[in-house]
Amino acid sequence: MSASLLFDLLVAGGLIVLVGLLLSTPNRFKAIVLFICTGVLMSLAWVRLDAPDIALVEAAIGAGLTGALLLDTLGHIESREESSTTDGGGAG
Amino acid sequence: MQMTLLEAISTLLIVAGLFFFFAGSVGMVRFPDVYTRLHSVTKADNLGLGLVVSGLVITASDWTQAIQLLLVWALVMLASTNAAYLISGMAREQGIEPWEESP
Amino acid sequence: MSVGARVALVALLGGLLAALLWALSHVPARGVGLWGMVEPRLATAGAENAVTAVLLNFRGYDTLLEMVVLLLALLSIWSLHVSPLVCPAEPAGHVLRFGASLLVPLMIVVAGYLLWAGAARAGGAFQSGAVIASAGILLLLADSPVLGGHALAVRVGITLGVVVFLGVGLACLMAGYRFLEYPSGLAKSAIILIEMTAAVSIGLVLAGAFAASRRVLMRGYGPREEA
Repeated sequence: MSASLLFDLLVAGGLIVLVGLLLSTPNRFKAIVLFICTGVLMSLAWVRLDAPDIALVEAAIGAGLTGALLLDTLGHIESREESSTTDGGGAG
Repeated sequence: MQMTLLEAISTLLIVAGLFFFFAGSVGMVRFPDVYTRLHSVTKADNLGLGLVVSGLVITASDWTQAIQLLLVWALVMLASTNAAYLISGMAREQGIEPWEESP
Repeated sequence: MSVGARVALVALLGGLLAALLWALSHVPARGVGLWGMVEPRLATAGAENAVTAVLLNFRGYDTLLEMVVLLLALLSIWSLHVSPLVCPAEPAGHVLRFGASLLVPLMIVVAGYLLWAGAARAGGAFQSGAVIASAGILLLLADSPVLGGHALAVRVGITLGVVVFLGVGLACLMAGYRFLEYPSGLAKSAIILIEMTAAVSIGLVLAGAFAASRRVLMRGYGPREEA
């Protein structure tokens, strides 16, 4: 088994494990962080598939920008949930 | 496998860097609270990255590649310092108390 | 979900996995791809990188549609009128501001480099736009406005990529060629013009999607009201 095959198997296995964890966790914040980790590992996979352009875009947008957007949305959701529970569930 | 002296030194540095990365990850899993975990992640990973970058700089193909690698190390240090400061500040504001050794 | 439904779903997904694995075992070791069709025309395409040539010359129409989709997504997000969060990084604002003041100019230089290197190596308009968007997000987190107070700058910046792309296509039509068929010899200039405006536009669109409102993109989040 050559070194590059071992590396590819590690990356693929890591992706599957991360996605399994991501889909099975009830905590939203943990799911978003796992999503960002999956994006970083996916960008490594693109490099191994000889596609450096896609790897750059995956790292910047998939891991970075989408992660930031999801965390921002999580903040919105949680602040609205907080305000609706303190109001006693008014209009929300 | 026949290796020149430069390649041997480079490999040694990269392996040492990987050891520090591994130590940092073990620390992140095993340490008791947010603040100690931040210590382990930023310090050990930065040292590991520095060693890996030194190993790569030795066998870089020309000086522009070497400067790009050193720039990567400097930027990662800047970014991880910022992130660690922000995380610990937010943890403090959320009221997470530092871990105390139970007597 | 009942137990029977779960079992059926697992069986279906297991069958799909088996079919995918069987298909994967029949994939040739070295992909054939479209290299045979792209390589003879690469010299006159205006870019040495095959990916850039395909994105901006051979399949330029698809890239134009992608940018329109990005613009539509941004307009949909902005039309929700979400009330903006307070600036997220307030407790350690000064450290982040210093870090941002070092990083943002460097990011703009890196974005310019990626744009220029896209002609011969990995890079191009989308990668450069992503770095510009990250610089915009960093500015927003550091409690600084991204575009100052001019509403016109926002509107022009966001639509510039699509408008210039369409304009180049229409100019080709008016010069007697087909839509987006660059005249020979002008392919490189056309690609550079489209890529520059596209990078700026994509960066502003993505940063605007993060800011979630036009006002925040222009003027920043503003002070925190409560402790």
